[in-house]
Amino acid sequence: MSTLMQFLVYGLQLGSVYALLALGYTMVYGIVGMINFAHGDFLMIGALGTFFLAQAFSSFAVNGTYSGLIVALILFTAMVGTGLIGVGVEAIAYKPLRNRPKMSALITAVGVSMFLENFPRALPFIGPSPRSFPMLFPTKRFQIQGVMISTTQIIMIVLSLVFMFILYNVVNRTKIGSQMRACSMDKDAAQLMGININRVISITFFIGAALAAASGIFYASIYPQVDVYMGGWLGTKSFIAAVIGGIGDIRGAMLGGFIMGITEILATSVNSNLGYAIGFVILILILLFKPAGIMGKLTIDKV
Amino acid sequence: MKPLIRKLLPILGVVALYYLIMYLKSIKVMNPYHIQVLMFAGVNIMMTISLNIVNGFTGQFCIGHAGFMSLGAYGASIVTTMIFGGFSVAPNLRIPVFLLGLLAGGLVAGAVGLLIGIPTLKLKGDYLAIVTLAFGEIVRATLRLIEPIGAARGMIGIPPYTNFAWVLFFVVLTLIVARNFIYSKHGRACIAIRDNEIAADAMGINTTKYKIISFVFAAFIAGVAGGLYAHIMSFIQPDTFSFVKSSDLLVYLYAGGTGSLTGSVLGGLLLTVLPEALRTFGNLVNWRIVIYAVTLVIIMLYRPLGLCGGKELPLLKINRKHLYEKSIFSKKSVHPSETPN
Amino acid sequence: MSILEIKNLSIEFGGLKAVDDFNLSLEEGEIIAIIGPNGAGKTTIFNMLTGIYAPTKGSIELNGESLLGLKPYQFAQKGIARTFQNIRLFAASTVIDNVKMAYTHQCKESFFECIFRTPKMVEEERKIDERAMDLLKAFDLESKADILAKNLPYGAQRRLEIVRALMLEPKILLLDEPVAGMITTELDDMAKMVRELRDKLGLTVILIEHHMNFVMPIADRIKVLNFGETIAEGSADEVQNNPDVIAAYLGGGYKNVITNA
Repeated sequence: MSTLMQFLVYGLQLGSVYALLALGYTMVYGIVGMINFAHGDFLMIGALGTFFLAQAFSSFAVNGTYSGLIVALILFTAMVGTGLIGVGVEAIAYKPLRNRPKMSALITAVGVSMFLENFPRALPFIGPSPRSFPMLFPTKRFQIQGVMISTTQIIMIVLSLVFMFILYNVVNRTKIGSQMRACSMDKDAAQLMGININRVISITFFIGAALAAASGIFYASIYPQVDVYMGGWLGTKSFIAAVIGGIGDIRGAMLGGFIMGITEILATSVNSNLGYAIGFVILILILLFKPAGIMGKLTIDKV
Repeated sequence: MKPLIRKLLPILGVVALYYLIMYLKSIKVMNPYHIQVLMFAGVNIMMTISLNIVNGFTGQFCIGHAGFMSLGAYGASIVTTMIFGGFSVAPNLRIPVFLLGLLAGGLVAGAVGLLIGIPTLKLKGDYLAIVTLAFGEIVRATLRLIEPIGAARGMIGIPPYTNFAWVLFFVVLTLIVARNFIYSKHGRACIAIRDNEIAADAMGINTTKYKIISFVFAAFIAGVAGGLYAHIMSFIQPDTFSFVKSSDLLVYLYAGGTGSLTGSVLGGLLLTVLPEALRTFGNLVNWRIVIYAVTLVIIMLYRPLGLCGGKELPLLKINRKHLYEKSIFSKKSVHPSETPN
Repeated sequence: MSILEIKNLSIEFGGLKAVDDFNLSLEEGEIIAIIGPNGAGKTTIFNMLTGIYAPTKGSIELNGESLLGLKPYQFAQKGIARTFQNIRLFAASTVIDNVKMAYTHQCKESFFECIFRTPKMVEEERKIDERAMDLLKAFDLESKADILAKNLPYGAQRRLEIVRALMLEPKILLLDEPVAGMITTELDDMAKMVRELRDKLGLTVILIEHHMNFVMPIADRIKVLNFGETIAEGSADEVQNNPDVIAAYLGGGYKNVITNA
């Protein structure tokens, strides 16, 4: 029982990474209608950026540990910076393709992803080699009824829940949120109603990329190694999480993220390759029985 | 007379191309490495054509195509290496064994294509894309688990049966077969599904059936291409056929132009050869993929149909008037064979 | 015996009755028009008659055989062909290919004959080609056979949709607003064409149309729908003078408009 609980804790921890990343996929899909294949790379930019920020602030660290204020500052800077990069990517590469077939946008996204991974790789001061990520969060461990929990895990899970709570309320209760929902239903109509869709899309990319950066920092705090390729397969898995939950639906992305995280940890405890494949198997099963994902609604073509 | 020339000319052209390359090799203008790059280009061309059949002509969206390639590579290698013991087979049996292996590779890929296609091709657009992505990854994860074929370490000692002549032969064969497919009832049904699925359905086309046919056909070609690849490399491992490979193929296809066989040839050839050419500029080594990525984005932004989108070389087309070739001396066809774009 | 027998056909979308108890008994060679204001459920009936929507209740029988539960392509294969209100051509294909695409089901080429292009297959292709060309000629489209469907003028696209449907060798042809967006001179051509379809090919036609001038002279019978219910049925004259129809169609008091529209 306590082993199962232990796995559940790890699962929630990994799930929060997936869920934060899945939110970006789902928001962009819901509002722009494209799969942003480069989204996983925002995670990498966030994590790598944090690494360099932490280096820059290393003089403030005492014995390799950073004070809470500095960590908050680093986190904030990395998230805002990544968010701005997200906005830039959208403006340069995706905006001109908005009214073109979905395929062109998707292929462009593949190209953007290749660029985001290989540009830093080609820069001499970054390069392809993995770097070990600094300990930003306190790592005190304690035991509750045989289950080991660390402060890092608690901070991660709580922070990601906070982010999700804020996002959910922004989308459902604020003016920009209602504009986002309007755009997701009908971009043209939204535009005719005086909504600046360029602004809405930019904000969407900003939020998505910023959350991706947060998830990157969290991921690097669990597995303290960062390199330029880390976003690729994490992105793929989070994307699948978003689809399992029902792409375009914010609650679905969170749910899907946690489902992915927990099942992956459980399956990995059986066999490491199984852990990798399990998400894909769940995906296929869910799509076969509920083709729009758990929360998604299927749209019917009008004849 | 004229139709005969038109039929023979391409074959003569291919033979001439073969001897040209062999001549260039013999006078040391091209070295074995160049030839190998060309062979990879050939395999990539076949893969791109295969992907084009699904994505470009049927309008479905497969983004896990490397999965079929790996099934073909493993299927073929198991036949040639594990069943027939690689080079230990009698020399005069090598070619039959090689061909049997390729056939097996194609069949394995095709069978799995059928198995995965039946439940999934009902899904639309993006969802199908995701399932095919998942499919590719599941194949990879599964291959990593199977110990007798080397699991994650891969399979070694595959006899390098594939030479340039075989690659050229299979590329030409694929082109002919793909062209014939497209200009037939099957191809028309696929294109109808791509252009307007609801109308296709209303016109009595069993859309699921034709999607599956195109999927299995494409998987078979991909399997054969995978078999060729394995017998060039003589070493394969599951991770070679990851999503990176699938996205490379997508890049070849969309840069070359969907719905155009000419585009697949061009995309597969140029994008295999160019990165290798960039390799020779010492300093650029690290920037190779960056340049590649930027080129791709620029092509998508400024030429969204790809280099040859919707256009086709006359050789790769079957014009309507060719159907009436037998009556050459009767009234000539008055319809323009070129379609405006 | 009637060729098509529709009884109590009804469909609900989330509690909303889009079509309620629609009955129709169609004789071979008849031209029937279904008219009614926007949202009356006309296209929904077509969608049920072509298998796109499954009716909640009722039956559809073609020559005594029930079609319920079949897929759209099976409806087409059984002999019910249709055109669409918002033209749905295979836009990126040539005109002749559009027509040939509708021959997929009848076409006898096997997969291997196709990919190896056997003489038998080439011969079959030539036959299909001639068939398609004959139809195109009959509808004045043969000179446009090799241009892309999307580059055709609007009226020609509407005609091409009909040609494409005819390639299916249908027993019943459903025309969904065949003259929508056409100019007056084109109306007469289309009316002549629909009549020829019946007279020369023996087709049974159901058409949906707003245009009274177009419907009145060619339809043998007219059914009027409003809010999913059949409110009147009969010859053009009978329908035209039915007070319910006038009320539904024009909100009452505009009888002159109906006759002069």
